[in-house]
Order: sequence, then structure tokens, then C-alpha cells
Amino acid sequence: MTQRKFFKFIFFNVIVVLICSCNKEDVLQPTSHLFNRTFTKDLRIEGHEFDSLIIENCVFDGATLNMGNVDFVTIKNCEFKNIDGNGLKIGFIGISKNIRIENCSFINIGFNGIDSHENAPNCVITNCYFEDCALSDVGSAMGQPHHGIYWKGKNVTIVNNEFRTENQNYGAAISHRSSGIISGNKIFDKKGTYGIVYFADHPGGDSLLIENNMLFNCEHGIGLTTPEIVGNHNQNILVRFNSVYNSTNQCIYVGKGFDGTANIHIYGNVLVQSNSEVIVSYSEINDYSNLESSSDIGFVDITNGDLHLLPSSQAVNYCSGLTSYPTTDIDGENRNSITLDAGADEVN
Amino acid sequence: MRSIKKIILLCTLGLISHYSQCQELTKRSWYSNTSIGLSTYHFGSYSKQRPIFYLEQSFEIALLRKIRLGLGTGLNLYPATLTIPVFANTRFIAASKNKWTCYITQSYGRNLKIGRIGFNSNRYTGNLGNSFKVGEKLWLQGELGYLINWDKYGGGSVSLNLNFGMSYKIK
Repeated sequence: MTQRKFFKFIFFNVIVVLICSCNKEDVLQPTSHLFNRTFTKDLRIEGHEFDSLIIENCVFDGATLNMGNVDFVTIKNCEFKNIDGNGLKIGFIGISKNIRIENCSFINIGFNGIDSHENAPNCVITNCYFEDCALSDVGSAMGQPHHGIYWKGKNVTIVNNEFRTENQNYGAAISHRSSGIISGNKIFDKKGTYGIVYFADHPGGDSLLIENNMLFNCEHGIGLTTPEIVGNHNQNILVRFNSVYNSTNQCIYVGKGFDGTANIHIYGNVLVQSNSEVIVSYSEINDYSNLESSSDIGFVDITNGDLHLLPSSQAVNYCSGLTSYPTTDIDGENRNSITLDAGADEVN
Repeated sequence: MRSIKKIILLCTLGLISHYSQCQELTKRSWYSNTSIGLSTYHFGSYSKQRPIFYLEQSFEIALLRKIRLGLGTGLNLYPATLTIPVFANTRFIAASKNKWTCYITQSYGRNLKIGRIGFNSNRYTGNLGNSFKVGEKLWLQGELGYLINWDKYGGGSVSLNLNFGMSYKIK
């Protein structure tokens, strides 16, 4: 009798736990413009009746936005905060193409700030702000860390975003798994692992371009790694004109397994590091015209992480003569071959 | 997750109070428990299925004839890191025959991050065990159960436990 009561007691508590864990999602009625709304329950946007939807000035407070089977959605000026889970999920419930995320903030997020499925090609993330994302350590301990942006779709454009990662113990600021452009991002204080990492565990494409990024005080700078599934590799990988300062370990790391399947070019970067080798590679790479140093090469304000160049910097005109370079720098200022500076900033 | 934490605590307290009503007070013996084990197949979203290995030590006092309470710590090796857990545990003696004793243990605690080692999370374990008396004060024991890890940011995992150890009656 006593044992029966005991098992009843346990059964009752299990049921209560299951009921408490349920978090119902809001389901949106068809509309073309969501404006000035605040969501405190997860929001699911699914179906092509929402194509070309604009989500503007909305707040997702403790609520994940989950999108699938919908194309050409623009999310702008939105705030994602205090979320136990992912901030924004794209493509997990169906293909979502051409999603644009601009001027949004992701603050105090447990899992990934933005998480995509492979089913999210041709998307853009621009001018967003990420602070204290990927706070949950359990996934990291289990070998699956979270990131500021965790992107698996092809041909993504991740430009001009800012990452403040002091409280992110694990995971990268940007963890990209496919093809596209990662440009003009500022990443500060990434502990534990990379500021930007490419890990080829999802299908890639023609190219991956990592350029004009500034990484300050990161554990590792930029990483290119692969589980050696060669069919996933991008054919061309360019890491150029980035400024990486004071990473605890190497500024640029290339793992083994890319030989014969990916052309990797690393050039025009400013790489400052005093602890170990600046570039470490276990695959064949072409690296040239990188300004490598163990001390300040003439940055504007190294104390506060401003990696713009002083006119007197060693990096000024360091890459003159190169014919392949980004047409603009991190601030959108033009570059030219004659007075071409190394790193993310161009002094005009 | 906070509601789950409260429910688990209530569940444990309820279990203790329920059985304390029908137990007689007995001489308070102290026990030392040392166990090694592994947790594997991790349910949930974490797909890296490498096992967790652990070595744990706890000290228990027999408050009632069938219930022991204790505190413990140890070293847990996770797929990507290691941690130092601290926990409180209860042991309920479900049945006893000859040299065999069947028991249920429940423990609640924290995984600690110390410097660059470890990670922050709550942990809850439940095990069904069998011990065999091999000496005047020594038992060998095997346990099967579960390990739940979760944190306040929504991270969580559930794993199956298998461990072996020994229990020694200190006094």
C-alpha cells in the first residue's frame, strides 16, 4: 500500500512537470505588416500567405520567433530579449528563402541569437546588435554549444553587425556552416572559442568570403574547420582584410582536411598577437600580404577596441598593388589598389 | 525551468515527510559512498552522443530506518568539458533480503564553473540500485537511473545512468 502511494505520488509529479513545461506558441493570422507589437509567447510564422511580411518595431520578450515555409520576410528594428532558447529560428519548419533581418537587437538569449536550418538560403543579417547570447552552458558541456549567429543556409550575407560577448562562455559569435559573405562585423571579447568560425558540416557552395571584420580580444580569431565531409566544402574561401587584435590563441586557424577540395586564400589582414603563431594551418593555404605583429601597429584606440587605423599606422598602404580586394572598407569607404591598406579599415 | 526545480524539491521533501511518518527513529549511522559510472544516450536537442563519465563521493546519515540523507561532490567528465558537482541526496531503502538491499536515490545539486573549468547548471539524478553486503561494514552496489541537467537559460538534457560503487559504514 505504501509503495502504491509512492508511485502515485511520483506519477502525479511527472504529469505536473510535463504540463508546466508546455509553452504554447502564438499563431499569427495572415497580415502583411506587423508593427509595434510585443510578444511574450513564442510566435510561429508559417505558410506562404505570409510571403513579403514586414515585422517592424516589435519586441520579443521571452519569446522565440520561428519561421518556416515563408519567403521574403523582413524583420527590422525589432528587439529580441530575455529568451530561454533561440531568439530567431529560420527554416526549421520548412524552406524560408530571402529572409532579411536588419537593425535588430538580440540581448540576453539562452541559446543562439539567430539559428537557421539548411532550408534558409539567400538570407541577410545586417546592422544587428548581439549582447549576451548563447548563455546556456548545458549544450556546450554536451558538445553542442550555442552561438550569436548559427547559420547553416547557403549564400547568407552577414554584414555590419556588432557582438558583445563577454558573458558568452562557449560557442562563437558567428558560426557559419555554408557559403556566403561575412563582412564588416565587430566582435568584442569572445571567450572560449572563435569570433568567426566556418565549420563545414553542412553543404556549402561556390564561395565563402570573410572580409572587413574587426575582432578584438577574442580567444581565437577566425577559424576554418571541417569534419572532412569534402562534399560540403566551399570551393573558394577568402579570408581577407580583417583586423584581429590580441586573440589569446592564433588569429587565424585552418584545420586539416581542406586539401584538394577548397582554395583558401588569406591576405590583406592585420593580425596582432603576442602569445603564439599568428596563422596556424593544417591544410594547404595561400597566405600573403598579411601584416603580422606582436604589438599595436597604430590603431586609433586600442584600449576601447577601436581597430581603425591612424594615418601613421604600419598598415597604411601595406597592400598597395594587390588587384583583388574589397571595394569598400568596414565603414563603406572606397579602397583603391594604389593606396591599399591592410585590415578592415582604409585610411583615406 | 524554475517551476520544474520547485516541483522536484517539493517532490523530494514530500517523499521524505511522507515516509518519516511511518518510520521509527533508529540509531544514526554514517555511510561513505563512492561510485564511478557513466551517463549515456542523451535525450533532447543535444546530438553529440558521447558519454559522461563520473566519479562521485557522498556521505550519508541514516536519519530513519529506511531513509538516509547526505551530501556529495565529485568530478564529472562531459563530452566537451568537465565539472565539479555538489549535491544533496536522499536514499530510500525499498526492500532488504539476506545480504541484498534494493534502494532508490534522488539527488539535487549544481554543476560548478571554477575559473575556466566546468559549467553552470542544475542537476537532478534518480537511481534504482541494489547493494550486496560483502563485509561487516562494506557493500558493493550497482545503480541504474537518469541524470537531468538544466540551466536558467533553457538548456537541458536527460541522460541514462549506469554506475557502480561501494558503500562503507563509517560508524
